[in-house]
Amino acid sequence: MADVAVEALTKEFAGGVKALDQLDLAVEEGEFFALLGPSGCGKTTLLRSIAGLERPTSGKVLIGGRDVTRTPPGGRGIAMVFQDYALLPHMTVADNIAYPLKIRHVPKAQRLEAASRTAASLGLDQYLKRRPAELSGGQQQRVALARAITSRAKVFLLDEPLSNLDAQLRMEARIFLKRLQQELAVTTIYVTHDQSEALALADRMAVMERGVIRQVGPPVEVYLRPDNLFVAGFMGATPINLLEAKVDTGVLRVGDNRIGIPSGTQAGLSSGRQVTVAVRPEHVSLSDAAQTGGFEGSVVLVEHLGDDDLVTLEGGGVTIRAKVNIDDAVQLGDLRWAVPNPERVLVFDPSTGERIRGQNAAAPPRVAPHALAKDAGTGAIGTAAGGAGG
Amino acid sequence: MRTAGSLLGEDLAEAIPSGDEGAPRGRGRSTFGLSRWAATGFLTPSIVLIGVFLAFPAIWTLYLGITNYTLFGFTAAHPHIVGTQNYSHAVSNPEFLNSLRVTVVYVLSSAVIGQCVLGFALAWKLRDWHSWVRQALEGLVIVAWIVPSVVVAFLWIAYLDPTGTVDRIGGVGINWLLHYPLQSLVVFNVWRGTAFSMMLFAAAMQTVPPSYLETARLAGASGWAQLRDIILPSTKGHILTDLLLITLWTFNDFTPYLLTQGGPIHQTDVLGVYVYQQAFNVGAMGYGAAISTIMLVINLLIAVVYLRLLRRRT
Repeated sequence: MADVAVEALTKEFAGGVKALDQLDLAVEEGEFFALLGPSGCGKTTLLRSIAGLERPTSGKVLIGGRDVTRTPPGGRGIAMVFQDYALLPHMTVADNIAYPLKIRHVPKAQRLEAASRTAASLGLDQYLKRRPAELSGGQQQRVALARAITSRAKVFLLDEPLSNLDAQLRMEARIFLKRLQQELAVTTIYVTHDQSEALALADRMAVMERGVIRQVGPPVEVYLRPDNLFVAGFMGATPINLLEAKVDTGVLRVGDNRIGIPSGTQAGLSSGRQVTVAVRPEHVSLSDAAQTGGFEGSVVLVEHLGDDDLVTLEGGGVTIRAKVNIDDAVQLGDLRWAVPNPERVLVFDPSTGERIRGQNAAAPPRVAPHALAKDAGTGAIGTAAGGAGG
Repeated sequence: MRTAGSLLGEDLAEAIPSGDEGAPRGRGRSTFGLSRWAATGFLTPSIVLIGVFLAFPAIWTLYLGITNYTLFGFTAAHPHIVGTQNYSHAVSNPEFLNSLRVTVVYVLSSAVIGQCVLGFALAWKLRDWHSWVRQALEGLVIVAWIVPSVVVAFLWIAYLDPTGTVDRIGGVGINWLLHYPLQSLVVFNVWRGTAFSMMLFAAAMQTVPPSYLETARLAGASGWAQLRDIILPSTKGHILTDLLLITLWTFNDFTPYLLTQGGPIHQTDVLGVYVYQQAFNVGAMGYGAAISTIMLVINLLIAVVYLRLLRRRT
């Protein structure tokens, strides 16, 4: 197993498009690291540069401390799983799994033995003689993983490996992938545009935008304490509430309402400063009675999300959304108070988009991600939250 | 079709040709909005043309092949049927056997090895080159293919002449078409025909998902291993189709006549040229027709072999 680092990596495509711009990143040994971002943000280019499939314009790629910037893909000790799985259609499942060993001239009997051992551990033993086309999407994906495992790579690179699966299968594959990675403890870099995958799988994640990393951290940290408005807006299943506000002696004036200044940020907020207040709909509760720090408004929209309703309130010059339990039975036109959880209210500088922090948050706690992964099962998020909150 | 009928209603259902019931029957029924007579009217001109220019000559050739018809002399006016005499004469005639051998050498070296292998190599190598270099080279190669054969033949005569371009460059004073006639023809045909194979293979290679090759590269596969494990298996069908086409084209090629007229001393007497010489220069129409029929049979055999191979693949 090996750690992966990129230093000042820049990739400029013909025509001057900068896919990566002076990018630095360190992925620790054994870590499950997710690269998340909208399409075109450079996450796949970064992954392919680590793999050696793209030649960076400048900068370095280090795997296990070794500079591999000029090393061809085959010499980097990595395996990659593609979105389309890239199973060779004319080969049997066994031959596909054993392919990296064939390239290394391992005798046929030996490599097929290795393939069937890996296949058995992934529940593929009865499909060894089949062609990839005869398998389901989920099985094909497991064959691609099996091939990565037989290659004995020190680093796995996964490029949106779940996006070709249907929703049901994707959940199963996600659990499978997480357990497999924990078992193998192999450094894994996982590219996705689906934040729920990143949140569920990763020990740490990076959110990318236009060739730069906007935030790196454990998923819960990124979700609860986004560093900037881009990350705040990108993360979350429902769009975060962004409210224009003005600092007024000890309070924030939002439209006609006042809310308390979140603890820890007072130092950065001088009176009269314009700020953007952000709070996720899931951190806003609704109340029938007047509440201090609440926004009074009438319900103008109710969207059903399954377990929850997303309720939009308008009043006092403010539009705010709250996620509430469907049992609350909110009706259009109801008068309610939206109460943000003061612990979860974030304040941003609207001109730079950066979050305004107090002294406490100035140095975000560094969490040993590997240690997290060890004791976190599928409940990684809860543990990460505990570790990161200090 | 019956279920379609219940869905679409009687009229539409009847207009759709159905596999089990054959074409719509009876007078006045329409086929895709055309009456039977209109459909027949549209088809007649092409059927007549095919009949006059393809079917009739083919049958006539078969018939001529069993006669002793000649262009001049007594048998020109009074030909009679001689059965298989032309065929037995052909298979024991050293000139025919020589022509067959020359044709096989010509096909194998210029089409199978030359055009196919070179075209594949070019298509494979050009992938890595800069797009403008590739486009320029592809353009050049295609020019060789689209220039009419007669023009190309005269270009090559000028090129290979003892006082021609090659001599001016190399200054060796060799009469290539006299001393190396078949070799010259092979080079000529490779030059002329490689573009087709190259384009076909380049298109075939484009259909191979890049992730296949990248997977191989990540496993550490060399260029040769990528070719063996991914490109060749993925383009097998295209290779067979290409071989089928260029084998038949080269087997029936008449362009060598423009360069060497079959000479010197029958060294470039490919079957197409041999038939022409026998039928129109010697005047042995019956014999020429018999050789044509043999060529047709060989063509059919080649096609059957390739199509079998293609079918086995799928």
